Amino acid sequence: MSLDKIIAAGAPAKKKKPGSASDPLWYKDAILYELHVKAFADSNNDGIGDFKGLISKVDYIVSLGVTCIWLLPFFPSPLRDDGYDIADYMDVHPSYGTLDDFKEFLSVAHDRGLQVMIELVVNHTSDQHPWFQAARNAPPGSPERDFYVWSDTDQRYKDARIIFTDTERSNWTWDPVAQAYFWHRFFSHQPDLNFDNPRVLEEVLKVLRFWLDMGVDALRLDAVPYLVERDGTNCENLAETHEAIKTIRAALDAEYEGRMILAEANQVPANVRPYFGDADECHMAFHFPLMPRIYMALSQEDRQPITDIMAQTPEIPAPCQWGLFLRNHDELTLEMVTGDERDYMYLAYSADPRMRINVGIRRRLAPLMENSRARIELLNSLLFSFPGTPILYYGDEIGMGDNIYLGDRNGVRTPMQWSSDRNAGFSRVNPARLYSPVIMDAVWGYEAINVEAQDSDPSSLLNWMRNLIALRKLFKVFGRGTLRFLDPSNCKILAYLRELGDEQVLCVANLSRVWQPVQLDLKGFEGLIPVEMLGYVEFPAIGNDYYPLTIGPYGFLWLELQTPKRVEDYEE
Amino acid sequence: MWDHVLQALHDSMGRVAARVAQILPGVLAFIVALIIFFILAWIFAAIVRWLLTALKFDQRVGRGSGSLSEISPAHTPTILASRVVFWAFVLVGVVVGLSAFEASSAEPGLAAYVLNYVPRIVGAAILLFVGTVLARFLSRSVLVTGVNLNLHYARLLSTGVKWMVLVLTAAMVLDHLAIAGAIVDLAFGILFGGIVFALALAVGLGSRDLVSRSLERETIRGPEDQHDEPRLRHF
Amino acid sequence: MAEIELPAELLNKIEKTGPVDLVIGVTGPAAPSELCSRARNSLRDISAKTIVAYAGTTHADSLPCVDTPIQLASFPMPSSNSGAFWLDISTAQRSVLALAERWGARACMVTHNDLAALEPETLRLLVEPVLQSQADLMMPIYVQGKYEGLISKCLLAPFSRALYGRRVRFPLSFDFCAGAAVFKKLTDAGSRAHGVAPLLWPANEVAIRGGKMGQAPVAVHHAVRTDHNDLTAILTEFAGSLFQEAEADAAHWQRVRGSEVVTRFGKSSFAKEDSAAQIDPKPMVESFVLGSRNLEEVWRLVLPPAITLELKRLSRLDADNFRMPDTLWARIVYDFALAHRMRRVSRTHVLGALTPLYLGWVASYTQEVASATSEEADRRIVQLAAAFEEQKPYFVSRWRWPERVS
Repeated sequence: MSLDKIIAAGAPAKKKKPGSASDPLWYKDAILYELHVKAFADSNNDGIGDFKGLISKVDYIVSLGVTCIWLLPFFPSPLRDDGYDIADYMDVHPSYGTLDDFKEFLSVAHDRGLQVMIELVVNHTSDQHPWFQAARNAPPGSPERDFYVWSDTDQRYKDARIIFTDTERSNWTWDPVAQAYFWHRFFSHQPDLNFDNPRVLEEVLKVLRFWLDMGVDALRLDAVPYLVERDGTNCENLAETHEAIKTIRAALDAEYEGRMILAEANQVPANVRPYFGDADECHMAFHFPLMPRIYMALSQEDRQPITDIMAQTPEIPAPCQWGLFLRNHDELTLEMVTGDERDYMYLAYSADPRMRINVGIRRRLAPLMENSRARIELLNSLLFSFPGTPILYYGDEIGMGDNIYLGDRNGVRTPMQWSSDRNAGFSRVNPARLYSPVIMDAVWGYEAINVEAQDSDPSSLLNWMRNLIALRKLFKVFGRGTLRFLDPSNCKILAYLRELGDEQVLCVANLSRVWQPVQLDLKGFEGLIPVEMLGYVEFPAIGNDYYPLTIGPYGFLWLELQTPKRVEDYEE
Repeated sequence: MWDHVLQALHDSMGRVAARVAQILPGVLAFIVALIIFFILAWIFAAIVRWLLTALKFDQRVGRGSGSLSEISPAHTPTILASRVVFWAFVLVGVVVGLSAFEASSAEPGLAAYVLNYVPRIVGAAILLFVGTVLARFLSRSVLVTGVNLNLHYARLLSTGVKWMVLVLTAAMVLDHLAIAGAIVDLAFGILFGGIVFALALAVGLGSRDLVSRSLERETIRGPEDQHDEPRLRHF
Repeated sequence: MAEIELPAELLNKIEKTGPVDLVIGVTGPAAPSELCSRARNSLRDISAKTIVAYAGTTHADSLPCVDTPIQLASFPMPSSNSGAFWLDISTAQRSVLALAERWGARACMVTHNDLAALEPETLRLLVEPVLQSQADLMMPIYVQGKYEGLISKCLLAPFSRALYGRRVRFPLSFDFCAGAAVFKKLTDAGSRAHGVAPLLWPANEVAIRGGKMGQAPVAVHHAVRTDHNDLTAILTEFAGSLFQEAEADAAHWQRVRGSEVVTRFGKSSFAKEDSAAQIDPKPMVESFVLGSRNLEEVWRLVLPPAITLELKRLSRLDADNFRMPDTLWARIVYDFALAHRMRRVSRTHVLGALTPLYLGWVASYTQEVASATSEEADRRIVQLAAAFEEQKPYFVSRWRWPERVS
């Protein structure tokens, strides 16, 4: 079947189905809040968070000021990879509720003006998925069998690297039922779908339509570089993979308006660029390499890692957008840094080997910053002022800690800390029944760090985050403007200009632990008045000379460059 | 002798068995009623939720007026409504179960009394909560309105309203709990009557001059005011 | 807000008449015969195909305006049952604008149903600039004495001017004239702030969404009585709506700096001399003192300590020396707008607690201008507006970081 036919197959409707946002480019001004239904709130007291619990907390999410909720996988699954091993694409895991609960959540979120993004994990399924069960029992060459990638030998595609180095030895696993090896880029219980088979794409589009018809606003395409395999390549970012994405996007554009797809491609920026296509592939893609380099810059007290990676970041088509984050549900991945840099990061941020996993560090933001409020604020100020859409990981807004004694990446997926009540207010169940223990130590425990306490404390991190988010939302320049780094001689100072039309914002950050002076070259802005945006304080006007500033430890300034007021005329 | 003992034991066992046999259907009826109403409650709550969602009730309410946004309830109106329906049914179930229990049990007094007392405590707690919130809100409203009406005794009025509501609440709570019924009625009557009487005395005797003066001023100033008014126009 | 719906009969009429130049909409019931004669008289200098629409009964065609290019039409009066003073007017104004849009009019004039504005000079000043494409919105400057229109002068206008950057004298007016370019912007305004159907602030709306604005002094006197009891209700309605608009437009006004002069049409002087009578500030000062004695529990939740302290000091002054500085009044208004947004106290209580403070400012103002000419008093008002503008950074900074209270 040709691509056109695939797209046309499910597209009889002429009128496109709109999303919940009125602006088609809503994702450019969005602030995403990433959360796991399991970890957020438990309404039925079975120890596992659910949609009803989430619904009860939507008001909290609204009060935070974020505009879009990103739900990690909530589909039926054996849960051997935290839900990324999906056994049924069109249902909800019974522990989290029902499909109706999801619909209710969706309508509640939309009523409150929130958009909703869910996961489209189509590189692989669980080995419990009916497709795989049918495939392994079907004879070789049959259409059922052809849903997955099979081989009689484990020597094909030798050049593809192994991603989960801690657990997997090969990308091939022998299936005794099928009497053949099947291909998997991740865990051996996650067979990869065969995108060379048009029927697979057809099924994927059915899944896509199922959720978009329901009203979901955005889809995150998981593990998108690995869709197609070819011998003699590293099986990443292949042209055929891009074809598949283009098909998905075309189907989306044909029937829907105001929706968005986001690519998860853990690659260097130059290799991520093709995932935007000519604005005909993904609307958004994560900027993976920026994250470790921000941490590195902070640790080295030097802006170079950040300016380097941004210099390597190519231009993207106008409707496209980078997704930025400080931390997420996975490890702080170090795949995209050099060996030396990786060693440095391990030394700087993971003293205990237990903090490491695969090629990365499995810790939350606040513990990485050693609970330093100034550093947490500094990193968030970078996140919210860099070009792209910021993504906030649940719990990081209150500075939640992690538990490195839990396996895999579960240490950063512990229950949300709502209050100092039993189980951090997450659930009323016997603590032993919780899907994961809540954090209980003296520094990070829920009695010290929780939403209730921070809500009532005007100077808490939570309220600081609320204010910063509200401030960012006032200025379109952050989401849509251009970025230009200044090059002051003091390399501990990161200074950059964001510009969009007549909005000009100068951001200056001190990456060091002590006071720093800086002389900024602001040629072309003579006569403008920098107004500090958080407190709305006017700074001296920019003159013909260098503009001097002094910034405190881990301090940052957001300065809006305003034209001076005209001389008042009281002619009236 | 032994026969008598045996007889007595036999009799008492018979009595107890009879008592149990008497109570058991009641307990069963109670449980059955509860289960049935639980199911009914669940069904009706689901229907209500489905209906309101289909009618896009939340959006309509949200659009309807500004008064709701002032309170900003933690749940959407649909969830609230369906929950109210659910608990109403459960409550009815408990009452039906209780009356079934009472009807079939030989001793309606104690069991029913104990069981009846639980809802009373819940009711009293709700009364107390609503009462205190209302007292604060009303007293503030009276204060603001009073001040804007240029009443010099606005503060007094608002404190009065506050305590009136609080006293009323306390009386209602005690009455609801059926604690010291007659005394509460009596005390409340005396207290309330006293307040009104005191006010009457205060206005009638103490401030007679003041009241008459202010009344006089109103009548004298009346026409002049009409004349004066157009000069200062707020809008 | 519900879509503005027009009855089929009216739509038929629109179909039949075809495009017109001008729609004059009366925002309330009016007697057709009087309306017709007034309209004919006042339109004698303007040659435009005109529809005069009024709210209320549907028997418009029974009394056609003969021998004129004027036609009468009636539109259903939207019922709000709110009991609010201005909400009905705003709703009717929106209906009129929607009607004008349907009719393909080039200009649309809305006016109060006392028909006081249906005078040749007023119409010429407000309508002509729009018809000649010199402005998209013409706002009136009511020619008033120094003791008139005080809510507009000391709250609505300076607040709007500081936030939206246009020096409009009467941001909320009974009469204004809009051009075709802004019809949609004005009728849409209701749906933007979701939830409550807000009042229509034509000048602020145009300031945000773009459009040329002008204003002209008109000697129109609308007989609206605002006795003392109503004051709180009116202040609550206007300030509440204005604060709500501010919340919805936060992203816009925080970036506006300074203010632009709005093009003036017509003669430049518009101050009206009052009779020499003095206003006695005593009752107002008493109201203020009463408020400061009793409303402290609300004020404390709204105002920062420094301002509360300043108010305490003011309450000890005797009536003759009572002066409230402009800066203080501006900050108070800003703090109330902020409290309105934060909802720490019930909104009705917040707005109710503003009245004594307003009366305090009025008392101070009346004494300051007691011996001044209207011209001088007007300069005093302009000075107040400038103070609002100067204090705007205070508002912005508190809006952005509400907990940083000094």
